Amino acid sequence: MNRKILLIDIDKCTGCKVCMEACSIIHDGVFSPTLSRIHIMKVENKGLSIPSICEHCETNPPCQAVCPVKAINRDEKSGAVIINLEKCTGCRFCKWICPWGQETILIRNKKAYKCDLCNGDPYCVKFCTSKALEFLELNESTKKRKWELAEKRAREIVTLEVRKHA
Amino acid sequence: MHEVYGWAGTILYVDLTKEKIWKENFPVELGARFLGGRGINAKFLWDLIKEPGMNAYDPRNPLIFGVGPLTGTIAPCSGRTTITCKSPLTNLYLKVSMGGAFGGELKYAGYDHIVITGAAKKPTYLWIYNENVELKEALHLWGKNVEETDTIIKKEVGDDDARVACIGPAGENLVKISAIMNSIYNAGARGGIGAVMGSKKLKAIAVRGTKEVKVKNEKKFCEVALEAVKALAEDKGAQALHEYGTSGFVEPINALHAYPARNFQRGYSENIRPLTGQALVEDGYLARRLACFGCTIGCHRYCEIKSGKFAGVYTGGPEYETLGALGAGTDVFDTEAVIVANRLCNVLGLDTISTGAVIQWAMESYERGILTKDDADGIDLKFENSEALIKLVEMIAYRHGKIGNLLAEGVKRAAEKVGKDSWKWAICNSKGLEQSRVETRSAKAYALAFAVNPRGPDHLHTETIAEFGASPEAVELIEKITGDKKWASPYYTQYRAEIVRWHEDCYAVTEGLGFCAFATTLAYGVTPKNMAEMFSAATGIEMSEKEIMFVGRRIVTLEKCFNVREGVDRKLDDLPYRLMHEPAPTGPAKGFMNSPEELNDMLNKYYQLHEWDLETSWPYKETLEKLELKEVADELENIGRKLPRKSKK
Repeated sequence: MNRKILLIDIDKCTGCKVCMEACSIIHDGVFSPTLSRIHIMKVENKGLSIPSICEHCETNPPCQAVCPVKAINRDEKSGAVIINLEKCTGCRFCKWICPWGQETILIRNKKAYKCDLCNGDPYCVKFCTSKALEFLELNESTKKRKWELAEKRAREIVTLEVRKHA
Repeated sequence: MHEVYGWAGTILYVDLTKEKIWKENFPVELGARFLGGRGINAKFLWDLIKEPGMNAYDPRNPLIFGVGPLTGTIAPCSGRTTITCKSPLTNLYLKVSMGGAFGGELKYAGYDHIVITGAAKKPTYLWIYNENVELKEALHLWGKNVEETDTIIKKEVGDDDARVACIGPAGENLVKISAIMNSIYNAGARGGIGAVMGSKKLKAIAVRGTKEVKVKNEKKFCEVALEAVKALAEDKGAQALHEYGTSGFVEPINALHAYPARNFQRGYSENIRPLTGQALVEDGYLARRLACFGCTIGCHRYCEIKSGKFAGVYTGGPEYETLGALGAGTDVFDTEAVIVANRLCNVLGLDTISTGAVIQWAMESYERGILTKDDADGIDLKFENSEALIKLVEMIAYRHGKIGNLLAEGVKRAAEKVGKDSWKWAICNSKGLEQSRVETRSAKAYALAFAVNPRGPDHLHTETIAEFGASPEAVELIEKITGDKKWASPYYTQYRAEIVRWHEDCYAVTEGLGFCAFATTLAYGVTPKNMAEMFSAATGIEMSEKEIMFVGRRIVTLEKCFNVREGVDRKLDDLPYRLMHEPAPTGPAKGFMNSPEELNDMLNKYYQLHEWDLETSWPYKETLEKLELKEVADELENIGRKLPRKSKK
């Protein structure tokens, strides 16, 4: 099977947070947005919802580069950038360096947790009826689309951060 | 530790008079009898009010918030909050159901219900952060609109993820058509529920929860939930709701001559386009499609006006009902004026349906010379006058002027005050709630459902849209209920009792579990069968489809009994005078009416089906016993409501 990539389109996100519930039940066996590895940031009066989740950067993931114990690597089969919990010391460097914001990585019990693409079959995607999250075959066109969507998302995240600190 | 599955496990009690807060374990045996949400709310209301005739502003009138055992899970569209109390508009049973994100957050904070009694001495708000619950002073919030209140509270508690349910100035001013809003644009609107919160001087409830919801049989639960998500994704009705919102129905309903315009004088409008969901999209007003917490349909709208006189105005909505009430009903076919009026209703905390209804009643009274320009504080109250519309919304919320104060009382009281036959075009029934914008003259199951709805004539107790047979799923459902596909037409009066009763049961289960009725009776992705399966898997209490629908019947009957205790009978199960006595003017159903004879005939069949007495409409004692509501029957008899006996008949 060919590798797939995760596409995140903020314009399609309705802010329902079902992805967060799906993520927590599949990884932790309970429903809890607090435990979710995807986070939906909301600006309610502006009707804005911005998914915050690991992009699994295709080239040189900064978290991988910065990890002092080399706990972060790409799983070639699923394409996911994953954290080896046995090696992880919970130092938070990955959380701080992530260009997608601190919400993409959770620290619990001195370990860092993030999206692992559910071993190549992300559960959240199944619940995203509005198709803000899609897991599609990796090819030139989806790669290009990912760039465009990522750029759009990055712009909104920066605006949000600026607004927060204004 | 009180171990429960599905439910959060705790009920939060707040006595505002004594400034006391306490918690009790969720009574699981009640969960099996009434599910949660609307069902348990109704039971609590029954238990807490003992005195028929009590004023709705009496501090003893409880304001009860409830979410369902499936709220906070991946069950699609399960994030709704029901609020229950006695209505100041009708003095009868009132439940409202709101979307938004408040319900999910409450569940994650660890609560299934909040029961609020008493009244605070000065403006107060309730802040819930998991176990920590406190009453905070809200003098600085009193007078603030809903958006301002939301922003200030989030800043104060230091958490953008906090969710706020609050009232606007309308609720503070005890406007009898005021709403409780959450996530700013999601309303629990009807029956003047905002005024009850206002009478308690409770400005807001803010909640943030970081706990978890557990289900008993995780694997089975996830399987059924995913099945329902997929069914909804494929459902044409759900797809249409996502694409164009409820406003997408305006155009097709207008084509059937069933979209009430000019205070129900017309059912068809030539120039409907500016009020359609299609126009919102094509003319660039729709900025985003939104969903309530936990919803995979996403029918909610967020609109912005980019240029012109109203540039910069933004709001959630407008919905089908709002476009009808504020737009077609007042003959204002102007997208921007309706968006502006909708925004004002949202941030001032008004029910858009009732607000539109009183304004169009005033416009017709003005046209007929019964209200003068002087009565209207100098406003030219003509139909089609969008400036008057916008001005009146504000005046009602603040009870400004003679006209604002008059209309703030709701259309029934306003017509009583003005007199001179003006009740004949007041579109409310004897219960006193303004009818939602549904042309019941050419939709007979809706007509029956509206007449028997304990809170008054609207679609949010029993949504019988299946009778239109507009999709294969709808036709199939009508066949399942009546035994024959041919009854899937809204013009028949036959089998409407059966159709209404099925939808009543289903709606009660829907809201008892925390679901949205759009997922169960407007689209059909979530069925009674998978609701029963999800309930069983979540709570560990096994229930079949038949059993859970029986629980639905119990909830509906208990709600009816609240009104029986208030002493009201069959006479209040009617429809607005205009719809009962004036024929529909045009279209395929031209000449159709909800004549008293026709309605009475449907009512008889409906009461018979429920095993309620034909004369009073009260349930037989045996009926209540069969539904395991013996304590309700006993209490009614103890206070002198002699219940009819089936055996005597």
